[in-house]
Amino acid sequence: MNATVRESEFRADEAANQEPTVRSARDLLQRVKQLFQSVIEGVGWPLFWLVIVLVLIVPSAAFLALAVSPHMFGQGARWFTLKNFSDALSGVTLDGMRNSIIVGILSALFATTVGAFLAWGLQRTNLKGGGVYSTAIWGILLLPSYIIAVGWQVLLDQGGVLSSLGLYSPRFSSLFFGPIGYVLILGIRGVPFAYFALAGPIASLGSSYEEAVRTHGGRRAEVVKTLGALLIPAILSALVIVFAESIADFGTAAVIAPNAHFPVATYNLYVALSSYPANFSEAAVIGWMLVAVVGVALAGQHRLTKGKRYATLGGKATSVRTKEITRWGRLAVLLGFLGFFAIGLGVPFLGALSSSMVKPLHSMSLSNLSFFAYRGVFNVSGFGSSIVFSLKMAIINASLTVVLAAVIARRLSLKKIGLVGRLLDVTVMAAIALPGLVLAAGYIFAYNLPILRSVGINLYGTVTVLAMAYLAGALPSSSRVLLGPMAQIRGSLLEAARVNGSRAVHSWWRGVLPLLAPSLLWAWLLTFAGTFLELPASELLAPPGITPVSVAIVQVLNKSNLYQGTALSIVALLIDLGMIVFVMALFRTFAPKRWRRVGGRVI
Amino acid sequence: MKGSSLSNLDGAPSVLVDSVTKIYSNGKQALSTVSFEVQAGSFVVLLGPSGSGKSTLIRCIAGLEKVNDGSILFDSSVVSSREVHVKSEDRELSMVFQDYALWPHMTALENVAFALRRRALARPQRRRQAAVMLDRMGLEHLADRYPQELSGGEQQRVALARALVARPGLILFDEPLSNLDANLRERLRVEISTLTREIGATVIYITHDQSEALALADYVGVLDRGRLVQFDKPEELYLKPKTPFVARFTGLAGDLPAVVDSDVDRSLGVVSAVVEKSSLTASANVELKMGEPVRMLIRPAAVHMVTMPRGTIDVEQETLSGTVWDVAFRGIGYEHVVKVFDGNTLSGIFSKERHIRGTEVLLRFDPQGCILFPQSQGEVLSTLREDHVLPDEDIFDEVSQSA
Repeated sequence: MNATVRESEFRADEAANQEPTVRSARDLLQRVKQLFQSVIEGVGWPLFWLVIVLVLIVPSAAFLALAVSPHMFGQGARWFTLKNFSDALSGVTLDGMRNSIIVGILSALFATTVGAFLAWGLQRTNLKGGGVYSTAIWGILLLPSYIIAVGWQVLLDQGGVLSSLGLYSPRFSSLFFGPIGYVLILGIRGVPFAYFALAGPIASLGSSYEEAVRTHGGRRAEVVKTLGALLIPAILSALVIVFAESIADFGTAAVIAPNAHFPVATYNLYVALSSYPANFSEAAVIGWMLVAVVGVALAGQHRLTKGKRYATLGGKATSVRTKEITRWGRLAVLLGFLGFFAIGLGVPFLGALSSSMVKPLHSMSLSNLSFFAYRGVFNVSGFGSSIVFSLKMAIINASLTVVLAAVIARRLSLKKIGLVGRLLDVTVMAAIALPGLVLAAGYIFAYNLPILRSVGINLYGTVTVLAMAYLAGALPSSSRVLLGPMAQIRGSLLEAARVNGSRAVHSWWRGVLPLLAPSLLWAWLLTFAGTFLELPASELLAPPGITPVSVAIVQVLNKSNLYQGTALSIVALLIDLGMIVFVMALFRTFAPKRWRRVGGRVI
Repeated sequence: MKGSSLSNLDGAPSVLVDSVTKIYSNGKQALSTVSFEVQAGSFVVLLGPSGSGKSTLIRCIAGLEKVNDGSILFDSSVVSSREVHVKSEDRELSMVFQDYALWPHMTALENVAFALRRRALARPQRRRQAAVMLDRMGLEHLADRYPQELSGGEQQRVALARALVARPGLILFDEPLSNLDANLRERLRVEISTLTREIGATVIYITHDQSEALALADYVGVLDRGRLVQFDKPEELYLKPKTPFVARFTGLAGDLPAVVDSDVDRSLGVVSAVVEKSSLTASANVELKMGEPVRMLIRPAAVHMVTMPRGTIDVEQETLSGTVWDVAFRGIGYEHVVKVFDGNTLSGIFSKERHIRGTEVLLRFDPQGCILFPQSQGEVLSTLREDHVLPDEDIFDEVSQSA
């Protein structure tokens, strides 16, 4: 008590001794700070919601509303009609939807099987070289589906790699330009998603669950049955996420569909929008159907896991043992791994590389290799400016997305999220289920409405609307990526900083941000890589005179200029990867050590 | 727990562990030529600290790990050796795990019924028998609950029911009580003891808790860094520990430096030793020479405490004087920590009366609970001594404060 009195007396003396000008400057600064904080607190959340509404809710709702209310968007006389649905449920549109569902199911099964095998091999066996395989899985994740598709196309094409080895068969080509090609590419593309869904649960599944089966007389079949049942939520997650990614994928369709007699929903949607006159209603109905199919898949997943108990992680100590596989077993697993990475990474990369290095109109042989296509890359009309534009957009979008995604993740990670939080959760989940192409198409309607023009808002056909679409595409998945790390930040960390006299912003900066920095970096890099080579929004919303990288590549490829297209793809990929390496190197060099700490490890 | 008769169906096997060595792929040697025999129907506890190899040993017996050398025999059949490895599921045993290992997607009843699959019974019969077993454990009302909906004690009883329901000949327990609170541990210990003996199974149980081991076992094996250092009846282990490590692990008040000042009386197994200035009688399980420096390891129950007025203590006849350093209430009385000389302390000294901190006391010793070991077994002894030497500083004088 006495000490407190003495301290306050001392402070009063000290304050009295200070110059009046210093005191008034400090008071002013304090007032500005308080004003800033109250503005942030007062305006922050409404502003945030305004962004969410403008970039996510309005465009998707507008596009989906078009299917039942064409008059609202000047596309017909009726305010409400279901005729568009009955028209779409026939012919090529219905075939496309059916094909997409079949391809989606088969891709999901393929990716989940391979993903489970990879997860088991990497997480539960003594196989060496885990870091290399993990990097390869990330490599496939960063590879856009259209580049994988192009690599395979080059392998199987007449004049391609197989052809130069005397193994060309038109049968391979015809198989590729059909359901098998779709399932192969989408399955490969889905493996990282399946792997990430399964790796955690498989890695943390306590060994005692298996040992309890065996010590109570259960044989291998019962071990598989029991442990498989424990992994049902992860398996369903993997199936649903790959299914949703596959039926919403546009990149594979953009490469395969022009040469195939196998319509899929996303390509039908693109054709409906890009044909003249554009059939907006049909596109909207396809959008509805895609959303509905993903919705059914999610509902099915929810129904199958509801009421069952699968939690295998708890406060009790559980031991997780890795399996010591024999030399032959290791060889078999190794061959399986190499086989998958050969078809997932090797073929696309080598296919694209070899194609890009063969002189035009020459067959593939060593004597015909040249850097002709690469020399010509920057002569392709505007490709240099395409790269600069896409780089700028990717950096801006990644930075903006990480900030907003962190806010969403923080809100959703709170114990009591309330009604507003739940609404945010539903919006983000729905946006994940929404195919990128549907979202992009929504922008065409929402920001091309006559009412907006009449009030002087002319967003359609501008870079702003493309940036908004990029943000809308990246925000849901990035916030999900950050949700896990954010949920691990215990409230007591902030409370500890606050009770020790630190203000809220400072507490976050000093106490929480260092712990989240590696996760934020990963979210930034993922968003950057995704945006740099993003296709659907770029294809539909790029303003006249501006060609994003992905659009430039697909345009060249669709002109049957394979060698030039593959050279562009390789250059774009190298820039993409180079940028990732550069940013990581910057982080490792300049970020404080405490920012680079993940658990006990410093990256 | 309700009454109904149980008996094992497989016939309890004897278990012979013969020179078993286990080296993991990372080169760590977990077991080194471990040998012991478990008679059919007996209850053996393997006791040891973390890293002593007890978990590895029970996993080798369960068939969850292969041995590098030596062999394990059930009755006279080899189940593990360098060449033979009978799979766990073919060993006709059951096991209770430290983390319970109840499958979270199965109800309590389904978890218990699972173990009956090896009996080739129809599903309704399996469920009926599982229900009877749960009833026996007093858990019939929880049969339809999932593990997450049960308390820790209930989960462990379900795990116990699963291990017992198929009435196997051999049951293995891997630290089954370590996740439970003290009250539950005692209750479940009694249940394990009575049910397994009723079933007549051979039991191998591992723990790091000496009181649990001594209370449960017919025989106790003490493991230290992969070696079996003693395998004996609990009473023998307590009264005649073969090494200072065993003595320590089965409970000590502390240890004191001493010098032998008589020959060992072989008929009584006692010897006289000078501790500080006092002459004390102690037990000796090893050969000791006159004048040899030794350490005296003292069981808590062997120390009796008497309060004496200052200056009246005769410290030279079978007693030591000391000062109370700390006191803890234990319900039926008090446990004291007493500082004796040169910073040495003795802890866990029981008295019905509370002796407040700073009280000068006289300690009398029961020779059976004071065991001498040569100073040459110093490595372990020095560790022991460190545990019982307090910093050389003045204690808080509670007596003078209260005065």
